[in-house]
Amino acid sequence: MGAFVFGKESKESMKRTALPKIILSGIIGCAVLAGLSACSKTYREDTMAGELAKICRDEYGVDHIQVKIAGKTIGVLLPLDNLFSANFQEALANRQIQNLESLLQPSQEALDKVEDVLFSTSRVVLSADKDIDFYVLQAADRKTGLQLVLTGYVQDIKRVRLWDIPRSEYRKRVLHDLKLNRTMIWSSIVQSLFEEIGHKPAHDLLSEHFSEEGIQALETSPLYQIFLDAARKNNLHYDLIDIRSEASANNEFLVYVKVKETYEPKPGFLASSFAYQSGTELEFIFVVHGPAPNQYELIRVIPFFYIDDHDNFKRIQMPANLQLEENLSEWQSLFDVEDVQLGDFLARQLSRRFDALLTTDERVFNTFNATRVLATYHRTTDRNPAHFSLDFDLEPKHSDAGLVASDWVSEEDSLYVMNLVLREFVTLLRSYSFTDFSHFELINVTSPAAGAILTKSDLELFRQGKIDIGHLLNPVRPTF
Amino acid sequence: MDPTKKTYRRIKMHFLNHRTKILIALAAIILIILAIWGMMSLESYYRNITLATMPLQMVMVALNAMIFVYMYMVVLRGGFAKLDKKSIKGSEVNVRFSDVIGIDEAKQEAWEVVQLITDHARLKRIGGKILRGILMIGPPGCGKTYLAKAIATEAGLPFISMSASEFVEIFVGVGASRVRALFKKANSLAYGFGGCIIFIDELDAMGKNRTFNQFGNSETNSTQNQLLVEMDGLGSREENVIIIGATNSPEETLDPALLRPGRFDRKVYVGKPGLEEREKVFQYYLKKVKHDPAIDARKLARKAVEKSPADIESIVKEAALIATRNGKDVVTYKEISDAIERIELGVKHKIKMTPREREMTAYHEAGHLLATYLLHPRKDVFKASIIPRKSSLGVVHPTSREEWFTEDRESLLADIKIALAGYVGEKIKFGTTSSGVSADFQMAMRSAHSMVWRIGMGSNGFVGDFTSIPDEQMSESLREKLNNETTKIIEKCLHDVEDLLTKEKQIHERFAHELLTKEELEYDEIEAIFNEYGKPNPRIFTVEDTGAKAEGTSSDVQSE
Repeated sequence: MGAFVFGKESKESMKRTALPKIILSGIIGCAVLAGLSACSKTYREDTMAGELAKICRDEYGVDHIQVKIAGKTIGVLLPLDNLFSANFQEALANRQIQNLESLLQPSQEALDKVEDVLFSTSRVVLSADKDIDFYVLQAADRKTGLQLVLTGYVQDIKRVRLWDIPRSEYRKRVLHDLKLNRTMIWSSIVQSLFEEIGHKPAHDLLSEHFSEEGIQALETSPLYQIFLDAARKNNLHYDLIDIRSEASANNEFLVYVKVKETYEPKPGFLASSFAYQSGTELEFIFVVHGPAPNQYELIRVIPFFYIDDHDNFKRIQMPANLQLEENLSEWQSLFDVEDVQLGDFLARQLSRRFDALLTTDERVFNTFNATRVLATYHRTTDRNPAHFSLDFDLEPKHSDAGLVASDWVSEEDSLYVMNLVLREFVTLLRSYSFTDFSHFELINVTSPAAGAILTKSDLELFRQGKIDIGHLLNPVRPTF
Repeated sequence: MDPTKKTYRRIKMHFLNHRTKILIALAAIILIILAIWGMMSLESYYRNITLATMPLQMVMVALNAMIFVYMYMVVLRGGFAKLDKKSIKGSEVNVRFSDVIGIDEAKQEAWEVVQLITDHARLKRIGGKILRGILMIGPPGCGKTYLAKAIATEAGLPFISMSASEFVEIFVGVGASRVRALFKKANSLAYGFGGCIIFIDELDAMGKNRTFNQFGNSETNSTQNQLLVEMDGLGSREENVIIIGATNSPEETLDPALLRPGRFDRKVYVGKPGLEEREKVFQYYLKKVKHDPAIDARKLARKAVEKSPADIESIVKEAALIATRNGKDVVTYKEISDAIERIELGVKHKIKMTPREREMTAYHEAGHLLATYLLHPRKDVFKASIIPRKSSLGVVHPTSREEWFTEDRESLLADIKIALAGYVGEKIKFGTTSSGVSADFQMAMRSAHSMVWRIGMGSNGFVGDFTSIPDEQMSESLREKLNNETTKIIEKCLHDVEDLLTKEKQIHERFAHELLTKEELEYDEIEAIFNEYGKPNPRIFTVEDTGAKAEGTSSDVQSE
């Protein structure tokens, strides 16, 4: 088709040249709008705990989780009725279990819930305005108090989602620990009590949870008033803010509970007619007695408050003879979260990796009876800068006394082990781009004096293959 | 028309014309809003991930789209029938009648057309005939397209311009579908703006006489048929769509169906400009270049006989180029003269002739020169040269003092004598001749044959066009007589030229010598030499100041 416009540039041609500009402006406008929309974070620091619990409850049907944030670590407690597939007592009594590993296999239901909570946690953490570096998920079994603790690095979640690291590597980077949470077992009767208030008649609650002695003592307790008032309340709910426990004597133990009561008065009842207003935080110490969870009973309730003659809520001191209050912080909490540091996290991860590496290596298997390498991260102190230490506990097959000092840096098999370990060490630190250490120490636990100190530059030369393990350890170096 | 209704109709027209684009734009806006809304509902991390991958996705989508379009266009051959023609408003064409110069007569007719177009509503009210097609016929470069633009500007209607060759494709049906698309668009514009002008340039490309044979219709036929149908269909739509066709071809070559009333029923002949018009054209184009104020446009107009406005524009532009090349600041008469020569005679070649060849060429051209100057009743020798140009080794360039629309017997005889003078010049001087005479002989024989066979200019009383008699009905004796008469004219002319060159041998020798020395002789030099020998310009031209008419013949030719 031939050219059409004659002579000087017409308005039509100007329109034609303006159209692409309009379209381009539109695209840029949309991009800016979308970019601006991406700037705002979805979850705020002050609400992210509640949001996570809400997501788990509303979207995945996982209820009763607790969320705490400590520093740059988010902790999630996931109480489960059946964390493990086997019933420990039955399995052990019937001799069905040949080894403990098979006994500690999580049930499928528990794994699904753990996965759902982990995914929800990652969603919230990645879209929150607070920088979170670590997550700690404690999946606790209500019956046994055993809990599976998963500790992970948030950056690893991003990397695995962007295919920067494979999923198998990601699994290696998540720390799995099995711990015992006694408070979970000891507080179970108290937790069930607060869950059932308002859902069961008061006399049923009393008979199911309290001993005869406890019932008699309760009649003068403010808790009794709570049981009686429950019938006049709608949507009665108790948030367990803090639960701690401490062993006592003669199959007795103490459970401290801090709850927040929320409710709506039933029609016909005035809010002022209730002893405690909705939203009041109540604290109790329950004295629990019993040899096993299914035999626990409450024998005494010690409230931390009372209502005076003018209907005012008053907090009271604990009985002086118990001296509980000053020790309360030392009681075992149901759910505590520590702020994880990357150095510590890497040290723990390295220890596990060394363990896996050495137990699967054929040469190590053939030449050593036992190998254990423990990595530790030492934070900066007044005397020392931050550094790693690797404790080698090697027991060669030819010696029952462990690796002697003279073999430490010359014996071929031990060098082989150290080569494997250091290679893993340097690879992992490089993968995390972790540089917050000045040096690292190699310690032979059987001959501590034979240790060596290596610098970061030594490590880099070793990584690049410019220096082998023999030369790395044998030159004259400061020893201690 | 009520302004509100007019606005409504224009909005509706724009919507109908661009409904696909409007719907796509709306869909795009909705999709963008949905996309932003969807993005906002995402958690910020996923939003970031989505945004981060968006540029790559856009590149991929664009790449896919380009591949798809390429495949569609190249493999599936789609889009052939698409008419990518945009209209522009008449006012934006920006060529007014005052800008059209050199074709006053055609302009007058075109103005009438504009009146008919603009008074379309009134014409309809009184039941007058609606103008549908205007055919502009004339030689190339005379301003047909320019005139069409001026019509569009003055009428103030949307203007769609196409070349007829744009309808022609090797795929049957594509041209016809383009015609349909063109008229659909024009009707739509006419609905919105009260009229539309379609200009089809080089109409002969699609409007030639249709051919019908057993192999079916050709693509041109189907395209032309569609044009005819659409032109008929205009009446039923009652839309003010006017088609202006332009062609260089003679009217007879166009299909009669196109020329019948109701189609291209108004014909505007756009011919070459006369002396006065040429002068105006020269003045117009000279204004656009820096030129010597002493240049006389009238003189140039006389020199540029038979030149179209486009030729004149080309001459002025060429003169400006020559002036630049020669390091001059202004265009002078010499540059214009050189430009005319370059356009008329062509570029000089650097062929090295042998001295003998060069000499023969000089005597050959001197013969033409003498015959032209002394015998031709209408033509002057503009230039004589023995520098090779185009396919000739030398040239004598005659030019009319004024345009003539017919040739008389004397003029034709003079043409034959001039053609034969080259041959006679060689023969007298060297006693032999060269092959350089072939083109001259061809021209002489053709003229003599035409005089006897077609236009009754023989001397033996045969009058009529004998070429219109079928061969089988033509008697041998008549054919012989006619041929004899043709030969007789040639012989007579040859004899006259021999006499002339023998008589004026001295002047012949002089011009040959001058040509061998100078290679080229201008009109002024030629005239000066003749004057030396007491031979002033024999044409008794009384050129009026208007220059519109020239009269007179040479006494030599009178004697014929």
